[in-house]
Amino acid sequence: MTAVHKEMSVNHLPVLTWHRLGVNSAALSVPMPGESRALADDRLQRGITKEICDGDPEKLLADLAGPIRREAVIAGKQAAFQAQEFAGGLGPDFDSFMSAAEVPLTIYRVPAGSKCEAPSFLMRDLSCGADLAERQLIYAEAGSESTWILADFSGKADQGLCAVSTRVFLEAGAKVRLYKVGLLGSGFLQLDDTGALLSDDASFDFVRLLLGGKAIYTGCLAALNGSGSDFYGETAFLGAGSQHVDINDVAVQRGRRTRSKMLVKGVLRDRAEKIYRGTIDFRRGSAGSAGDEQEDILLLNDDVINRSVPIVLCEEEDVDGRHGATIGNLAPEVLFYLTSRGISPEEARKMLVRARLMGTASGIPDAEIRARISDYIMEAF
Amino acid sequence: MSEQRISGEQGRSLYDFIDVGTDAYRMTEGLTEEIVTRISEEKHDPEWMRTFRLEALRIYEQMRMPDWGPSIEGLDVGRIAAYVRPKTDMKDSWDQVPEEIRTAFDRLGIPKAEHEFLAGVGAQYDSELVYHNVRESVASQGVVYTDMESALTGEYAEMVRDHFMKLVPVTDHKFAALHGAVWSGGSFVYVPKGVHVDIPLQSYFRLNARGAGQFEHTLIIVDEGADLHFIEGCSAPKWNVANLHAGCVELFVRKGARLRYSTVENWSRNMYNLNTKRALVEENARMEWVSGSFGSHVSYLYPTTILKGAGADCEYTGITFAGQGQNLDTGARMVHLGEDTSSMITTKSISRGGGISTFRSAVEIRKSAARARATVDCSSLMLDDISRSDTVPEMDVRTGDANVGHEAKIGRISDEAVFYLMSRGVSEAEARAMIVSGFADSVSKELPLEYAAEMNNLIHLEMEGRA
Repeated sequence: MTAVHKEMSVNHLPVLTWHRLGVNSAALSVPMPGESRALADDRLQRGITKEICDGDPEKLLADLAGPIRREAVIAGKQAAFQAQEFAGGLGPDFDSFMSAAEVPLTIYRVPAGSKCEAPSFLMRDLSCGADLAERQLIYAEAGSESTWILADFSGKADQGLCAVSTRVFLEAGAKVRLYKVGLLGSGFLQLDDTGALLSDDASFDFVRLLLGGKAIYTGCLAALNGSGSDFYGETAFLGAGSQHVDINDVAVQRGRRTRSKMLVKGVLRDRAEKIYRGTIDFRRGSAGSAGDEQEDILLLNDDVINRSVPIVLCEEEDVDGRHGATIGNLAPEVLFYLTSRGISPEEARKMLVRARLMGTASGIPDAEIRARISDYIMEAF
Repeated sequence: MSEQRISGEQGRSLYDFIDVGTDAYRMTEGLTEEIVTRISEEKHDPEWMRTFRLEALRIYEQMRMPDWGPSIEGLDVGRIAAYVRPKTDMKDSWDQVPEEIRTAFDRLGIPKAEHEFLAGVGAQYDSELVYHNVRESVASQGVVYTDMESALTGEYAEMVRDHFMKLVPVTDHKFAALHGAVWSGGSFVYVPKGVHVDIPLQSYFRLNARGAGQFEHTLIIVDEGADLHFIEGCSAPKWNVANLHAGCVELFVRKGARLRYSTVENWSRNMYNLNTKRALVEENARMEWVSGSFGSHVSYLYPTTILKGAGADCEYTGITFAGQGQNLDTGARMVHLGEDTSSMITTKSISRGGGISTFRSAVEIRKSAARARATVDCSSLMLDDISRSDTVPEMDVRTGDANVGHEAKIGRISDEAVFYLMSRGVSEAEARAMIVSGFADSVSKELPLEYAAEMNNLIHLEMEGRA
């Protein structure tokens, strides 16, 4: 039986640019998820509760987000997207997809003032062709601190659909560190969506490793609504074979004295293709804020395609926004330095690639996950 | 005179004067096959151009309005007069130009500039060139600098036909198609192999007519090993209805040649400036763009450079100042095709008084462009919290053997810098103007002294809110 597909458009730029560049959004056809046979392994830290939303998930998320902020229609330009209540990076089509698939929303609640040093785990084993469609809301109450590791993995040759939507709501002073790791088989379509709403002085650290899979569409939108709120995003990816990696990260800075920093590091080889859209969006009222996005991409073959759209939108005077990108092959002087110390060029190249990716992985507070990542990278390089 | 003109803009008085009774013929407003045919007849087009115009009109009607940039809802092409002929034909002596038109160019300083530091001048008034001249010393080197209409039928007719709208095809976008249908005026320049034109040529475009469009076409061919600096200037008085500028510039820079194309654009604040500029750069040739965008209500302006030949090189330096009521969407596009090509984009944007500036760019490194290098550096300055400044760059790299760097920053004038200057007796307004002038310095230093002075003057007018 042929699976029912849903056509969708994801990873929209907040403002349109020339259509012929093909970067305004990504169009894809996604099979509705089959019955999930993924093995779930949830290990929550003491005090964190878990419940399935028994009402309308959309309404719950919309209530958390408050009224739609119409300033999303960019002054002087035509809006590239429809306003979304509790927005994620993938956009409203993905929300509709999850609703149509009747994916329940699981709510993880971190009590006010609790400090969870150790991470909570949401591990999913998608071996043997299991699909996964999952929605989570991490509700971090005021002053709480928590760390989360969400990892999806499967056998190397496995295929299927992995669709995950994560929303993080941070009350005043809450801190959330979220690590998302994708280690999926070469036939997987991975759709990974993250949205965060930050209240006053809240802090959201988001680290993402994209390894494996056939096609990855991932997006993160952090709405820094509260004054003094802070967003740090770091992404590392490895694109190999004919893999397609499509990333859309947005920091919407509404509160005064907010901070955002987004780093993307990656390696492309073979015929892999990647597009990164990164937006810092200073809204009126975000005085005293700063935003920075940096991209560092290593190209190892002549058949790779690397596209980048680093955007800064600004309607506030007293801000400091910047972005930078470095795209190219390994610096000859670095290679020369290593080879002059007796390391072969091939080994030197491997060392530099591994170092680039493991630099991000080394911050994950779990030795087993780090070892899995290291094994994957060592095997790939 | 019954026409109504916007008043109260004393600061623009240098540019914002109006001439009455200078039109000899004004085409009916709108865009139809009949109008396009009549323009063709007016201009005594060769048959191929008449066919070309009608085909462009057909394409125009099929294409959609752009949906990605500033709103152009206020522009109704059906209410634009596509052709307005001044009451003179082209002269090669200012004395022969009718007094009221000559006075307009006198006030803009064009004859004086020609006398002092230009190799040749073309002056367009509404839809037609009214003056064109080139120094004998330059002409004797074989340099051709003439109006496009003469070029279409003269000695270089075949060369013009081979190049006209080949770099910017009418299918490129809706306003390129519009240009193809109704173009009028503009200049043709040919610099023979190895000839270095030591002082610049300049074309100045003045749009005086209310509710009219200006669609001049500039075609420049700099042959192998030759060198040219071409300057383009433009202005218009402000009307209470939309005016449209949809010119087209096509530049061919042959092997080992160099072309610098400088623009100080100061259209009035009712102008929709939807201009298209493109350069094709061959082996070891160099293209330099210097661009200052100060005027117009809405601008879409992104000079494109195709680095076709191995070792071709391009540098784009631009500044955009968006004041009250302006939405200026500017930038550049670089397409690397050849091996060892390099490009550099350096831009500055300033937003003030509710103005919106957008830097938009694309750097495309194609698979054939091994060892290509590209850098983009854009800086934006916000002068208040009612304005807006956006950067929307794109990079598309399709070979592993390339290096692309991109840097952008946005911010405000630092309080410390203002305080420092004030502590030395400079007023706050003066201090801010000085800092903005310094911010623009990397662009102004690329212009000839007289044009840099004009640009600085425009910046000061903008800072005082009198632009």
